[in-house]
Amino acid sequence: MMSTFFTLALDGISNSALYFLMAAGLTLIFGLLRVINFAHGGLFVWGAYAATFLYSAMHQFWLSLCAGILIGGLLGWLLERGLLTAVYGDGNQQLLLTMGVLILLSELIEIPFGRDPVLATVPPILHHSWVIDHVTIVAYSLFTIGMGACIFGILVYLLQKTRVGLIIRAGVNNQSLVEARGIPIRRLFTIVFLLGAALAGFAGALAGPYYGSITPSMGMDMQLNAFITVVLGGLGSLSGSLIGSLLIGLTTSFVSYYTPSFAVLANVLLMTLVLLVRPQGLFGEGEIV
Amino acid sequence: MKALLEVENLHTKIGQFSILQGVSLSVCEHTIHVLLGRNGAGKTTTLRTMMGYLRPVPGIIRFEDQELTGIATFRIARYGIGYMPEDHNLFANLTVEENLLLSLPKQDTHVRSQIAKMLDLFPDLRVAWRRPAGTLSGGQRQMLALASVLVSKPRLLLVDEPSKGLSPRFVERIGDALEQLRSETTIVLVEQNFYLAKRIGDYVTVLDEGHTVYSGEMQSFAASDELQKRYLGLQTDKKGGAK
Ligand SMILES: Nc1ncnc2c1ncn2[C@@H]1O[C@H](COP(=O)(O)OP(=O)(O)O)[C@@H](O)[C@H]1O
Ligand SMILES: [Mg+2]
Repeated sequence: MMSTFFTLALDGISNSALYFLMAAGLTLIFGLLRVINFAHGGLFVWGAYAATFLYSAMHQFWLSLCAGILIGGLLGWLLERGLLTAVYGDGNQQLLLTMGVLILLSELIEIPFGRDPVLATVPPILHHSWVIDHVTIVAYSLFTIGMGACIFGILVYLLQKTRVGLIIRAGVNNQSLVEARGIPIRRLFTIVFLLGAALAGFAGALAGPYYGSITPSMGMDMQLNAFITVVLGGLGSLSGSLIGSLLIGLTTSFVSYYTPSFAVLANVLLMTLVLLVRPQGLFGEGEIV
Repeated sequence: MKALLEVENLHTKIGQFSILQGVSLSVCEHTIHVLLGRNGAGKTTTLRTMMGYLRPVPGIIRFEDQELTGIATFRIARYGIGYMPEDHNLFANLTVEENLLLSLPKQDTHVRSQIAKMLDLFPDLRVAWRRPAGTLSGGQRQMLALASVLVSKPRLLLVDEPSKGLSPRFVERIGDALEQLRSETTIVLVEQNFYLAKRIGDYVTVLDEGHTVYSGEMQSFAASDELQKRYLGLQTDKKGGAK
């Protein structure tokens, strides 16, 4: 009984790491650009396919992760420069546009790869698991958690200790004043969007071997959970995203073990419950870190 | 004397409303030029237009020999124009230190001495050094807002109602600070407190309903009850402490 609990908890936390990578980008982008990027799941699925195919072709795991990051960043850059600049300040247009891009990116994947799941294998160095006291510990899960923790650390460092981070935090609070300080805020929009998009691609690249297979619709599923995560944690807050992703990751893991079809419903209920008590989400607005 | 800033015939629309309909002023180097006018006269809009947040059609803004019309706000700031807005003039989530650091380009080698100078000018900021700006008192906030514009040594300073909502003690302090700065920079000051305006202003421009209606030396304006009554609708008392 206890062993099931710990096995599920570990699985839940590694799930959380993936959600966090998605939520962190979403929340940073929202904090600064005031855009809820529904296309984030599309970057995720492209990251997953890019990484999986690079890995099956070259058997270079690190390179495949880099491919996910690159494709995410590149698509994000194109999306921000090419489309989003036209609709800043218009929430409805942003919603329609980013939703459309999510659907488009998911559909485009089907053209070369079809709808069927594609196998994504774990590289040999990470292909281990241990059973200690009936608790199953999977090496790749630990690796995923480690990656999530690393990215959290890097983001906190970036935001708190660097000049770019200082400017981002300032921009979240008062954009027009940042401009008055001689800083081009639009360039910062691009940087933050690209960063968030690269993280989504990275999450996709990590997710393939984690799930064992990838499908074109995985982006949509991920988008839903990532969206719930950021709303739950508080839009615009990085700590909120961390806590939110842990809650959603663990809930998903436990609920899908006992009643698989209720996992998404449970997450939506959790979000609704939190929003009833705290409409601004767990960490509310104002402080990005 | 040649003007550092030359503003001619500004017309600015916000949405479909014509807010400015002919604002002109000419600002000489190392002077304090006060913008007066009733609430809603267009003072804030004039400064926002100069900073490039709003685009005048038509209108000319010349800083030295550089035409500023149609240039992005961040570039205007880089020409050496500092702006302290009327509201939201600091980053509430950043500490006092971070607010000041943000104004200094990272390649600036005089960061420490510039910041030390601000702390000498506004000693109140020293005690609040690591506190978020949002937790400061009203007076401290205005001082920080001013300091974080001054710290980058602007050649021209646009200040919008720095004394707003402050107690007389703080109004004096802000006034002293601005007066000290005259030798180093040039200031366009929007000020509702006529007592302060009179004390530190060299020149005055009065706006009404989006037009420049008067421009001249502060000395003669301050000396004439007639002019004040005509342009500001002020009832001056014997001591001259009008409000
Ligand atoms: N964003 C806006 N939308 C519509 N009208 C505005 C806006 N901002 C200012 N105004 C109007 O423009 C006029 C001038 O405002 P402002 O420049 O703030 O005056 P002042 O600073 O002299 O008090 C006022 O009548 C005000 O109502
Ligand atoms: Mg005003």
